[in-house]
Amino acid sequence: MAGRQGAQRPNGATQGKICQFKLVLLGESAVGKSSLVLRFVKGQFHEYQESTIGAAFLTQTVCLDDTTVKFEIWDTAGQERYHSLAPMYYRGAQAAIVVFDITNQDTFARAKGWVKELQRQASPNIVIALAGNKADLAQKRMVEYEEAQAYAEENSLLFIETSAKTAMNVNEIFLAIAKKLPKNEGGGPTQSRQSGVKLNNEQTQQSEGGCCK
Amino acid sequence: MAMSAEVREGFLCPMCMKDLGTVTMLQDHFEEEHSSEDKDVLQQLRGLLGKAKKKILGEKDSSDMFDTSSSSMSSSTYAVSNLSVTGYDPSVWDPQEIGFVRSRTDMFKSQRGARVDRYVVETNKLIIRLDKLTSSDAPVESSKRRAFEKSVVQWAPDSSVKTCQFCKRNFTLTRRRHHCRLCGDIMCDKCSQFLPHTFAKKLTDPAFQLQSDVDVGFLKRSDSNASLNSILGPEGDPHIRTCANCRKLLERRNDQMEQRNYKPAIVLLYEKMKMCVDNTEDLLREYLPMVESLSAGESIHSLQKAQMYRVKITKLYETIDGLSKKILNLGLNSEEEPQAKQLQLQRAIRLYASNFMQDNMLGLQSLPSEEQYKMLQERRTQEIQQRIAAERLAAIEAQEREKRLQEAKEGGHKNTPSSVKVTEERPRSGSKKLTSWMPSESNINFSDRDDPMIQQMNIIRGYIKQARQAQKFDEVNMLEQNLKELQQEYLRQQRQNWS
Repeated sequence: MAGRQGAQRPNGATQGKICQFKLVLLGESAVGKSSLVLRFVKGQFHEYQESTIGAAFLTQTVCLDDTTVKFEIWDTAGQERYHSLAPMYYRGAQAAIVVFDITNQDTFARAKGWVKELQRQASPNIVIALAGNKADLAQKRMVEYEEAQAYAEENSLLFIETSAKTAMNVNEIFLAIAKKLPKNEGGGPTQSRQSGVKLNNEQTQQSEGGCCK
Repeated sequence: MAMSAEVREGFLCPMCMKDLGTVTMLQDHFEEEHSSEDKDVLQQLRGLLGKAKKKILGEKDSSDMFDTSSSSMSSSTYAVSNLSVTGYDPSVWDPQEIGFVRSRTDMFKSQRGARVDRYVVETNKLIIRLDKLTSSDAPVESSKRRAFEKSVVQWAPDSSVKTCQFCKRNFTLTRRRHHCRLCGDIMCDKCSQFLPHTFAKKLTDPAFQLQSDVDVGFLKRSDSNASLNSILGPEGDPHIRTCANCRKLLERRNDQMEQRNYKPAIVLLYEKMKMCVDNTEDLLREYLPMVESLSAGESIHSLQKAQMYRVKITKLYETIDGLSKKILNLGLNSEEEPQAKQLQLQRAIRLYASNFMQDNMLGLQSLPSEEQYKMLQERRTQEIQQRIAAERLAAIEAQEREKRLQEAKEGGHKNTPSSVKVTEERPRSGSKKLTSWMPSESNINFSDRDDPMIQQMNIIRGYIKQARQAQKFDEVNMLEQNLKELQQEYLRQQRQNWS
């Protein structure tokens, strides 16, 4: 079976592309950025998620029709003291998810601030998604769906309400971003892709050498 | 949605995809489980394994014989019998007994030593003569020169030879005899070699050789220069006429010297880099205590001096970075592909350099700015004053206490309450002292340990380690790129801070 699949893969590769994208999560602290990512990457949810220090790094691969999209996810810390790190991560990013907590109006205001900062500082064709997290706590809602939706439309953002706890719309938001990302062109992603391949080449060469000797 | 491509490797059974671990296990498993299912597959599998085994054992090409035997033989004994029948398996050979042994090493050494000695002595003689001939007080005038040259080495008498020892042609009026100025032997003009003074100097003066990188050597003999005298060479350069034998000896010596001094580019670059690393370490050793004392508001070191150190260190880092990059890219542009081992070495050096920079650069504590420093100094003086005041207060209190104690003693019966008072007062003065120390503890905020940048770099380094362990080289690459960005950003911030 292994052999058969290996033989098939080159055929598949001629049609399917592999794209790699840098995605950054931004938002006020304790809105659920890490929880969203953890749900998406590992399918887990921790009731008492520790607050992130600096920025966490995770990867996840998504299949879209004939393309494979690899997300390089940078989950930034929401605390104010780490604010200075965020530009490092959104600067080269192709996508960003700005998260707010629907039970907290302040986090929505902060999310707006992040969107503004992204529009000013990040690369001009960055795909921004707005995630209203903690949708499972709808009874404590402080940010109306329509309000956020209107704001998202105004700024041409993707907007989805999510819940990391119930996994509602978590995969959907990442898929929606993957769909919206341009898959033909690519300055940043192809570059990192190339270097990645090179490394592998070296690896195989080395192992071959060892074998023949 | 999440993709997981399964690629399995190992001794997989083609029928049930079980991983059996070893060849024999697989064979046994196959015979037990699937022998009835598919004879053809079984046969094929055996053939495959047999071939692989044969290749591993390095057997000579006997595949034809092997193939026919495999088809005719009954299957279970085949693998074993194949080996014993052909008898090629080196593993079945008994170790051979060693017969009579005689060592010739000493004889070889003594003979070789004698030969080497002779060459060395002869070459040394030539070089001593060369030194005399090229010395500054040697006469240049042609008449005196001839006598001087003859005094250095005895010339062979003209009558002793009829033919040139190299080309064996008779000497005539036009083909005249010439003497080698180093050994005195005779040869014809065409067979003469010409040794330029620069080359002679290189041979006689080791210091001269080290300074000059110019490629020097014997001059090529061209026909247009047929009538050279022994002092002026083809380019008007002074030179010395020698024979081919002497030339060989001298060139051999030259090669030896060059070999001894030759260093490949990578060694030179590495030495330079290592020097920078050592310098950096020295500077760091002085710089770090400086920063500590400065950020404590002390005035033992001046801020300007520390800043100078810092600039020096960052410059050294840059050179280390540049040199290690150069080493990494050595030979990559040349037509000849460098060897894998060399590339490995180059990569290792680069890794060492970047590790060194990461280890030291990121820990490189930033200096307080002028204003911060002033603040720190003020705070320190305040602290000191507070402490002095506190101590004074404590001293006064102690005095009062003693007074009261004495009064109490004089009073006689009020002993116990006053002692209670003393114990009460002690913790209070202690806590006062503690609060006065608080600001100095908050100084930690100035150190880099709490800088989110540094924190993040450490986090990323941890990630890289994890990714390496998981063999996720794509990720390692990404993370390393990020780390580099962080370092650059951090450097930029630092630079802004002190400019």
